[in-house]
Amino acid sequence: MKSPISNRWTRFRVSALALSLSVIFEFFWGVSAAAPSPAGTPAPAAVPSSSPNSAESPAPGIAYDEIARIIKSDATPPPPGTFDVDASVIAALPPMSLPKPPSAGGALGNTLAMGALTMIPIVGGLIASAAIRAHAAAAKAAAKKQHEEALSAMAARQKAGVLAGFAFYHGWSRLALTPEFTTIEKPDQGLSITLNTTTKTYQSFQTAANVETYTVQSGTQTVAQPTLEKDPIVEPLPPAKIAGYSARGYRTSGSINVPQMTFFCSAGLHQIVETEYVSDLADPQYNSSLDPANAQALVTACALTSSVSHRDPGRLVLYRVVTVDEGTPTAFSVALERGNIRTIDKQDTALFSPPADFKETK
Amino acid sequence: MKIRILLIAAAIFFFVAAATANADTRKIGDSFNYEVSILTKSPIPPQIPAFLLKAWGANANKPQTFTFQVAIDRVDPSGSAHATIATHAQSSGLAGMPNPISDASFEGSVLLDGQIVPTFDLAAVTAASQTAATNHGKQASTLSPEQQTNMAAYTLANGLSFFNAVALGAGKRTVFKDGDAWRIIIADKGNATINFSNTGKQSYRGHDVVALALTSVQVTPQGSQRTTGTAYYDPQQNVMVGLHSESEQDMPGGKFTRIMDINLQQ
Repeated sequence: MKSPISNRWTRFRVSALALSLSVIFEFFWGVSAAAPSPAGTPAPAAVPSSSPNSAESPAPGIAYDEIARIIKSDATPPPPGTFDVDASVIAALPPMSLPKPPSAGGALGNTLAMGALTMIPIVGGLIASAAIRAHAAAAKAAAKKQHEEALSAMAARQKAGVLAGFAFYHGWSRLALTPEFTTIEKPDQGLSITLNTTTKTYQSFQTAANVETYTVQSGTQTVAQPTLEKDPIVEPLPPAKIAGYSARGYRTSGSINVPQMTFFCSAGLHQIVETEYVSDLADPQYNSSLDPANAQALVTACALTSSVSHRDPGRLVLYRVVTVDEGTPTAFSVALERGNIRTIDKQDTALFSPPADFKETK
Repeated sequence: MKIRILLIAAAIFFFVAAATANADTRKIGDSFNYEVSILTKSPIPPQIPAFLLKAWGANANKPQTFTFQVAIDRVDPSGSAHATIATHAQSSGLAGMPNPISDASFEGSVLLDGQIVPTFDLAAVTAASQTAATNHGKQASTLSPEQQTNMAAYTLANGLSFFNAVALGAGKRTVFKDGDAWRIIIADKGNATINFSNTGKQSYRGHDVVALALTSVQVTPQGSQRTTGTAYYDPQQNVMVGLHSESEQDMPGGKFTRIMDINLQQ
């Protein structure tokens, strides 16, 4: 139980969850803006596509961009190796502009506000339920054109996915999720920083560095987990070159039993097909003591919890598409694509500090 | 040789004494009465409906309070105890606001480290929430008594989330030295981290406690949450005597602050 850990944030398992869930976030909150390479930070040198895999010659650090998205039954998941094209689609999307709601309150702006209300513990949900009802009534009166434009823009973003940038260097980590939210962690210095590239501000939070650390389980009740109906079928796929790196491919299929309805899946039996291409690169987010549960194929299909490889835990996944109930009206896929993979070294350490022209706020 | 025997004997005595102390920590009939105060500050959402704006302004600086009593009725050999927990919402006069928790009585546990864990049926909570969501919240007022009790237990469990995490972290230490610092990472809560620093012994609400300065950071898809606070932990009885915490949540909707006090009543 007692396990000193020096670099808690490099595990950063949550960030994978962040990406997946941010797609969900978009469905409800209707906002997203990708910021894989925020302005004001030096761009790390790109690694040539012929670079050897890092398992053989470990790099001091790694950075990559990642696209996560949910694909509904009426669309087709991306094939492997299309990260650059998909990233350019996201980059070309116009900034999300919210329609101006009528004075009585309503439309998307209020959805945001009411959504925020629900985040207030205990009381927030209660206020929000009343507010959301009021909002729903007022939204009917909102300008139809404006509303449709906003929905169209939101749909385009949902279709394109969320693009985020990751960087890891000697125990430091950086996740750029939106222009308003980049987080940097330096556990050896006990330092946590969040950046807002829109306002050019940052907040830093200092804690004691390198103190005795206990990894614990809270024991909080969780929903019963899905189980495999029987052993899945695993078929090797021809090797591929993705983002300049050799990758092994696997197609895993089978069925899972979901004991309780989740956000994405109803209770009962679901057919799952998973295609994963994994490289020899070390996965900087993988933690051998915390992630084995996330490394199970198929059973995590309805949870969207982790980007850990299901075939080679500890190695970096370059592409994965998990499809639930393919061919049915309720089918959906969750796609993960990685690209712009590059090594980073000492000259890139500025990535892990606020840019000089950013102001600190409390 | 004699020294070794003495040392072994001392060690045996120490462990027996420690085990005895643990076994005696909880007793049938023990009762803990806690008062909870929650003050939430948040930006006024844009385009907030007028009727809500009024309530918002009226309640801006008023905390919501409730009490809960934990009565131990069985002690397990492990030292953990079974308890009956009763919640009671105090009338705070907050305009237009329902009580933060309903009056209810349900089962729970008091763990060896001082955690208080209400028992609830998560599936039933999930089902009720989904039904409420489907009906746009109309279902909230039509919960059965059993559902209300279950919801109260769930609400208290949520309210005690940080309290219990602090007890869990405090319970990791067997010796409390002034100035000691340590940290817990809660694996099943998205690797939430809580930093502890022992600022010294003192008397608090009739207990000899160690005062623990706390900081916590958690990054979620919705933003970041940072918490600072002070816990007053009785290491002899393994009881959380008091907790003051201030949490800031940075989210796209704005910055939210929650100030929470949980104190054992004398």
